[in-house]
Amino acid sequence: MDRYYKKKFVPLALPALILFVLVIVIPFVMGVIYSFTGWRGTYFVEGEHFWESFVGFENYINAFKTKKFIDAFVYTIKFTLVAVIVINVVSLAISLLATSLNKGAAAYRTIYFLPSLLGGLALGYIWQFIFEIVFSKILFGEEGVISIPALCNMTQDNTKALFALVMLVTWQLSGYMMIIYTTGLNSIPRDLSEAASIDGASALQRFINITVPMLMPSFTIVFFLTLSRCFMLLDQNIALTDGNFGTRMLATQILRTTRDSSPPDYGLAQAQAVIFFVLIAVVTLFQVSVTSKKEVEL
Amino acid sequence: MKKKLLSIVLSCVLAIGLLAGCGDSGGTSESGDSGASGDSSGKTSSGKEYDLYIFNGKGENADAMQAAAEAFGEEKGVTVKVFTLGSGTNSDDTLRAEMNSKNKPGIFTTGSSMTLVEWVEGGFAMDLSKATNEEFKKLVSEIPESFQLTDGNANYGIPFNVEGYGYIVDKEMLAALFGENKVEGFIDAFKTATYDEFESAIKSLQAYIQEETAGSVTLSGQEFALVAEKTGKAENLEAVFSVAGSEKWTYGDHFVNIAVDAVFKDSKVASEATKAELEAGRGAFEAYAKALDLKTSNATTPRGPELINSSTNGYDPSVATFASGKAIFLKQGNWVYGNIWKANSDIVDTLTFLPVKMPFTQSDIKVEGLTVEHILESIPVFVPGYYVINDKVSDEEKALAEEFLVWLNTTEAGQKFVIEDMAFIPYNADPETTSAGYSLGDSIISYMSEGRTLTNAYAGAPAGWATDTFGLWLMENYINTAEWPDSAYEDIADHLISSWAEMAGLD
Repeated sequence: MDRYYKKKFVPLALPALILFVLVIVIPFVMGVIYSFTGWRGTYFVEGEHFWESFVGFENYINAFKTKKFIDAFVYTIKFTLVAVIVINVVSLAISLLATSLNKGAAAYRTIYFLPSLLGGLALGYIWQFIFEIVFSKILFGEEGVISIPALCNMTQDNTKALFALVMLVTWQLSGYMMIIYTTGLNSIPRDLSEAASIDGASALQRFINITVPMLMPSFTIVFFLTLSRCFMLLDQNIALTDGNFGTRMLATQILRTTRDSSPPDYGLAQAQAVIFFVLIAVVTLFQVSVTSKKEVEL
Repeated sequence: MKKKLLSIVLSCVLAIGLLAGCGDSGGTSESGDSGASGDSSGKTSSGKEYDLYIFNGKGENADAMQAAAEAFGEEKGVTVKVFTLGSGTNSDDTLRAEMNSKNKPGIFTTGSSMTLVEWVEGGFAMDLSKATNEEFKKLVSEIPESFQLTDGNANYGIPFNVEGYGYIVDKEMLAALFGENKVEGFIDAFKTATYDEFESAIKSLQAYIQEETAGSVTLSGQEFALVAEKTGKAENLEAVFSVAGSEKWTYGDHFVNIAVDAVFKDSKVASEATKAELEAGRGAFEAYAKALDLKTSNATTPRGPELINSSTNGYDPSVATFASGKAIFLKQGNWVYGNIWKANSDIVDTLTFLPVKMPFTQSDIKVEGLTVEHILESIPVFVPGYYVINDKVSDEEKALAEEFLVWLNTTEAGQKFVIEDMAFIPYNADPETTSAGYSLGDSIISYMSEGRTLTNAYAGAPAGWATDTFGLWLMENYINTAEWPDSAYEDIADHLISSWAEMAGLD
């Protein structure tokens, strides 16, 4: 079998490679080129072709001079920090619960997995309704079940909206991450834990010294997925607050740049997108290299 | 072995995620497509299968435009392709994509002189003086100056239609409040009333609704007694105004426009505003803030966080609140007619526009020849969008585009589509003889025939200023705040001037 794959490598890889080049590599290269030009979406400033419209690093400098971009940058990092921690803790907790169940584990897992099948926009609007009506009026409003002002009008305040978005994303992603953790937990040989408990290790000691190191491969994947997804969050951000009250995240900022300017400054938007790409690539590669070093092989 | 199993399971999980992801994008593109109409299969790489391609940015009239294009095509023996995105969808990105393709539209649409810049710079918008068709040249020369689409040098667009806005009121509601025989008198007196009379009338009405204190209102010196007991339509009343607090454009665009109109003659003058001219408008802008305060403090939802809650105070809920008789006034334009009809078709025939009032003094007004009385008695009537001919298509298609626009705007067959199917008020309508065929449209025509109209000067503000900057700031700082500090009016005027100046690069 291996010999077959080795021999037929080129014809087998070619279709995927062609697609990858056509829809990822070429647009990406074009995008990087456009980020150095006065591209306006349908024409180049001062010229027929892009080479007549080069502006050097002007778009990049302008991007960092744009207050909205810096604000979005900071907000995205704040959100990602909180969201990654919360999602990891919650999904690990529910997967520990899922593996300790004897009956109905499959049903339990399915229920937790379902939210990740919903689209981001739909989720955003559902949660907007939850925050605006269920939270603000029925549950935590002045005339609600219990009055908790911190949980009212969560979409109308910069900080509250950050946690509102974390709640939404956790609800959406933790089921998906739970599946990865559950698989990781199931692949840990039971005899390790058994041997440790015979030696007198407490449950906490067993978790820290056996489960966590053995779970590192899953952790690498979950950390990577949550990190990149939280950084790139777009639909949920738009549907929930649409960037109001300073809640614009980087992806939304890039999308809206062409609407903030007239004529639409696609060159600037593209420069922001390149910065965005570099940021995500650096952070996630760094994370993967750090966490995968901590993985243990049996 | 375990590791291999893990990797297989993980790949499955990832694959599921990928599939879910595909499902997402499939869903969104489908929703885009379902809103689109027109024959896009006519576009092939080998060449075009149409003689004229119209890119229509007005989603509301997708079917009517398709029908008009077909009728025109049949009459002239040509194939016309129409592409329209769904209502409420921003079509700018799609239009740009079409402009980059081989088959560019022959006629496209754009909103104002600010959005026109892009198409002039890119060489897409055709200077209409270069037209070849004599009838078309005549059509262009007859566009009233305030309705022209220009960049200061040349004329580029043929208006879609005209629209107008003001306080919408149901005459039967007025009848329930003041008695059947007082309705016409009230409307006339309201139109000519001063702001002070308007303000005290709003306060008496609010007291009448919420505390059942019968009394009277005085407008233009005439007294109108309120019916002692709330009966009929008035029974459901909760407040004077229905306010869509989460819709930044309702106060960031159209409401502020009344004040901008007092300072700048039209959008072209506004687009050339200097810092000093903006500063000179401070009085008018403070008057705007006062009128906004009055409106939002007498709304069905008390001013505060709930007023900007989009689930309860968005566009549709605000229309529903008005249509179900919970509020007397709704500040909106004639485009809201269809939504009111859907919410409560009983009231649509008795609707009419009343002017939006702001406490201007003559010294606030910086436009020559404009009086306080004229502003208080008029409603803004403006062109919401234009047809533009693409300079980058073949000469044959350009000629056909000219012919189509002449046909649409001057022939009986074309006008039938404009008035009946698109439910438009033609920009070149003769107010004396034209009927829009529905209450709000006819109300606009009556203002036009009396010459009581204002322009849409705010359209000359920097792109993205009105809704996404000034409107957003108001929403985040004032519309969501119950008690306004004493400095509020000054602060709003300050921010209006400084944010406009900053975005226009005047600092």
